Amino acid sequence: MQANTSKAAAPAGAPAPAGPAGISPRGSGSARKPVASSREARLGLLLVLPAVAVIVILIGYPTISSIWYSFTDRMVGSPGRFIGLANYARLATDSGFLSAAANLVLIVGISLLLKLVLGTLVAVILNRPLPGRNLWRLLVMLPWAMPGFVAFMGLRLMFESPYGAINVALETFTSPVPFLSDPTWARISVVLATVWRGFPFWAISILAALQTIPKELYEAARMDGASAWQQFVNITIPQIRATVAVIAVISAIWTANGFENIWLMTQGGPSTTTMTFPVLSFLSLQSRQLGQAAAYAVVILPVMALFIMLLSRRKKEI
Amino acid sequence: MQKSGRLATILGMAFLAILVVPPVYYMIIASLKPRSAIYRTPSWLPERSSLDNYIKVLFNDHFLVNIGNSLIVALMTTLLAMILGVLAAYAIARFKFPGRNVASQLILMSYLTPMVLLFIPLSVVVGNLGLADTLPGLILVYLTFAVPLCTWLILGHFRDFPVDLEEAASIDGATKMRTLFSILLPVSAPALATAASLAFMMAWGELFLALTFVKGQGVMTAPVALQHMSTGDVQQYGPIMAGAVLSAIPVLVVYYISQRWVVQGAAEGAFKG
Repeated sequence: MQANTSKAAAPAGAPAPAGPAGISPRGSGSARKPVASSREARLGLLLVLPAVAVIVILIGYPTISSIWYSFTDRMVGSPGRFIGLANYARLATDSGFLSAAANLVLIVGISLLLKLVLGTLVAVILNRPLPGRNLWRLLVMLPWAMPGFVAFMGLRLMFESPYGAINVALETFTSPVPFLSDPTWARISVVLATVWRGFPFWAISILAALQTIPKELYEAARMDGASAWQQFVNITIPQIRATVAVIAVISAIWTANGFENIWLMTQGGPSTTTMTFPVLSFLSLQSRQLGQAAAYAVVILPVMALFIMLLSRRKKEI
Repeated sequence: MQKSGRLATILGMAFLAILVVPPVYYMIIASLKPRSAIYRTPSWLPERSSLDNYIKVLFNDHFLVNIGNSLIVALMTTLLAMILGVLAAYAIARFKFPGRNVASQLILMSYLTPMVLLFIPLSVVVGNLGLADTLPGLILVYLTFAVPLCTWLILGHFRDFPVDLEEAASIDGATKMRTLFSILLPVSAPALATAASLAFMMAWGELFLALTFVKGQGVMTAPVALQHMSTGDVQQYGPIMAGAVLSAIPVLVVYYISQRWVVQGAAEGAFKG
């Protein structure tokens, strides 16, 4: 790195008597001096400004607008008036909302549990000395690496009745199962599709955690005569717990906000049995009801805030 | 002992294969089947296969335009987000200025803000800017996830990277910006590749915002075009699957090239699952 001070600006970090090129008389101590701080502050602000502007204009302002819209009867093309909590009051009798609230717990909860079990199982398998292990890892990541809409369109075809792949496989045993048109089966199908798309990430994250566990722990346990299962329960689980907690919270946030899985498989149906908040909000916008659509989005904000709080606390622990 | 170990390995491999392969396999098979075979004689084996679906989707349905739109949107989103992200991450990691911590908190919070909260007012904003139903409008909207994502990942890397080299350069008289470009960025290549790949992958596959913000045939991205084909009364599964397979290829190429870093980067808090 040749010094080339063509610009008038003396390097903000360099103290007054900058040594000649090639000689760095100082150790790794602090090179920053308060003398340069105002220029440094100005450049820092300038650099961070574009990103902050994007965030304030495209995220901050819309967030506040959404909250405001949710108290109005705003429609596309009309500013609407303030109607207080009327949009929220309507939710109590709104079948779409009640389904979405139930599904938030059901779909998110069950798919998290399945992703945890499947992710751990796959991680344990990948942690063994498999022939061609890197290729297997690449293969296992495929559902996550392909675009979401591709995955869910393919899965929809799997679940179609009567000609979808699963029914074709089942046809010698049973008559076609109405995976997408029966309320219970539709929920199961959506959960399975969500798990298929999401498990690889759990697997790879848990695998990374498994590889940080010191081998000596297992050796010591084997000397004491612990079975494989006892080792798993007493060593593996405690060692990966922190990682799993973080993945669980982030995964919950993304699953709760997932749109493609529901929209491409069932569009929230049959009737509203697989409805979720993003789909509900999207449908309201399509029917031009901005105020009501905003209320659907704002009403889960406390849940999201809780997830985010859990996450920021967990992040510090790691 | 040895024998049971080998059995466990084989069972493990079989389990992984059964878990991952069938949907991908069936999708590819369906994309190669003639229309009648999907509905009338569905099967797991391709009896007659042809590239008709690919030809149909590529040359009859504006799909080349849609793929081109996806490419423009994903590349521009990635480029803009990387420029803003690198500058902001550099400032937060290396400069002292008032509001530095606020800026860093803001970026994490905005990364986790649910899109469903934003898209309604954004549709008003984009409309008022005269960008409704245009690719620049969609790119602008995609910055909402791409800028926080890129900034956050790059910031994490810059923070971990020791400042000694940069200090040596600055003592040698390099300006701050020169230090960024000639020292920090070259050694950060893996982190930059991670951030750029994830931003590209997310922008390429995004459906929710794209459905809201681009409606015309000429501006639709590939996911929107395909979901339009798939929400009609009659499912055109052959062409849809051909289109889906084609749309997956660019992302899988990006993923394959950068997977060494992407998986780790995503673990640092930037993934969907």
